[in-house]
Amino acid sequence: MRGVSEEIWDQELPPIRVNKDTIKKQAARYRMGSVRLALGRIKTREEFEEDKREIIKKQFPKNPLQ
Amino acid sequence: MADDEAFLRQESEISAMVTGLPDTLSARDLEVLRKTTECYGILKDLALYAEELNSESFLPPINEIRDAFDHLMRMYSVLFGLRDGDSEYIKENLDAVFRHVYRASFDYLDYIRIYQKDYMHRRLEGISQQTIVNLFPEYYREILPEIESCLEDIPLYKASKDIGKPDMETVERYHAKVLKMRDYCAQINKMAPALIEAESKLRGEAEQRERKESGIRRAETWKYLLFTIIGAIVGGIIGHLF
Repeated sequence: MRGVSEEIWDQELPPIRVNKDTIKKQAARYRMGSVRLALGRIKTREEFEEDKREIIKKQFPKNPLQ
Repeated sequence: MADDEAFLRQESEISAMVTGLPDTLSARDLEVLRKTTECYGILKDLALYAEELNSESFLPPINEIRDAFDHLMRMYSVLFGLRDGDSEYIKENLDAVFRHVYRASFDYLDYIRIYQKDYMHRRLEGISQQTIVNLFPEYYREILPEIESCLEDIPLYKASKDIGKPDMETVERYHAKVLKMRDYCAQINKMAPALIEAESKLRGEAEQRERKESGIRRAETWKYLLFTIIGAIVGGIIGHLF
């Protein structure tokens, strides 16, 4: 075994958590990789579920001939 | 790292197990790996489309992909002799890789479906039924029934996502639906300028008609008022004379 202890392999990774305000604030100084992430253009599950509830409620124009 | 060939030569002490992957993995494990690769192809297509649709990154499937990669590396850690592990450990981790990739696909399917609806809704907002019927009959004939059927499928997606025995057919079917909806989004987008123009013309005509009718109503009111006054005056004079 090189480098890491055996236990490391089986450890679960913690879920990615983001604080959009902090990301946006620090973006100019530390930005690496995705521009979207740096701009805080990230959708979390909670935000998605909220959007989903709103979008599902929206009604399309119905067929007037029916 | 990939450009540095010397690095690859230095690391020659790899496990004999990886000299041939088909010989190393069982037929079942290879099948799981093949299905995972197939599912990842669809997932990647969905991921690219999801970012194009909403210009943002959806976090839950990114978490799933990261976990899938972690399990894949656990399997390779055994194959490369970096740690101890048996065929059962490899099997468990390969199954986990597939589950994470599969779940990520369903996260994207759910996400895309919702924002596709939102996109179509925003494009058609303010357009009357009459304009749609006149200019875009396919909307009521094909598109709306398809959108509604897709939206009804959402609970089904969620149920499928949690099943213990995932299947690729479901992913392929829903992927095909997403592509069909993508075509509909493009059709709606193409029709939108003509619909907006026709709608503004229709509204202009309705306003003009309304103004004309309101003018006629006003004239009628004045006419009745005038007749009433004349009648009252004439009635008064006749009453005074006799």
